[in-house]
Amino acid sequence: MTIFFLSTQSLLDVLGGKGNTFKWLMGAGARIPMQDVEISAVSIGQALDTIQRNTNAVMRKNFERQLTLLVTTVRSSQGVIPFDEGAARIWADLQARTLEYRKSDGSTTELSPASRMVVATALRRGATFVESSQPYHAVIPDLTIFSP
Amino acid sequence: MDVNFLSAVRSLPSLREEPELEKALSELLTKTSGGAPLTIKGVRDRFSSVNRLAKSGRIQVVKGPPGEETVIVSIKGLAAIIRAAAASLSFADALTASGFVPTGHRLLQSEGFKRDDTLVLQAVENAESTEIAAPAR
Repeated sequence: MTIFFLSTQSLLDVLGGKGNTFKWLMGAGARIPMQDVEISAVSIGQALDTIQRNTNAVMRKNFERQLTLLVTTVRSSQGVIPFDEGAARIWADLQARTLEYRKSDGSTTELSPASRMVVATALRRGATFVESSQPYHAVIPDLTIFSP
Repeated sequence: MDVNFLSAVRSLPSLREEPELEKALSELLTKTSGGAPLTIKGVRDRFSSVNRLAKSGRIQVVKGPPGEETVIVSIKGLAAIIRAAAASLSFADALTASGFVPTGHRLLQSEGFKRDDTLVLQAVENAESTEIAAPAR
């Protein structure tokens, strides 16, 4: 069984109905069983933080509502994964590395500590990490990536 | 076979831990069979009736320690259960069924990392030397 572990941006893209992750996950061809999709509890915090920075109150409310529905669905198959001790040990190793992240405008930065927690949790689960292709993927050979 | 039972069976594979699956299955079967599990003596005394009910699609549960209860079910009923379990919900179906509707807008996660490579021991030594140097000023 392949576990598909969504990155925070993939989670936000599903909420928005945008991007290739949404098309893949919700497309008729995918038919991914619900128990094969997981998210990190850290991603829920990151998504809420991003949503709360939005100045449009109506949009903010709608994002929050859809996030609640999505989290409830994933939780029903025990797919919300906490950041545990094993993940924390992997995270410490990731913190020491330079992990380059390419933004949508093409500029690059480093992956945030919170996103490293998400990656560490995916590694801990031995899951396939669902994220658009990123430069940092090449420096974590143990991380299985699926870029829709 | 009870349609509600088969519908509930579809969601059982989402329970990943074996004890949770067994507990949920036990509760579901007890509910479907319409009451408390039968005792061994009860089954022995009324076997023809129990067998007839099982053949008609009503699963019969016989009492036992948790996880060791026994189930009497017809082959036809078992086939229906297997078919229902195999057709578990897809993520897309489950999300749509929850009432989820995409917002139609894209939000971008902010990334960035403020690297601090200061060694802790070095930082402590620097602090101590500052403390020692202070009275001399």
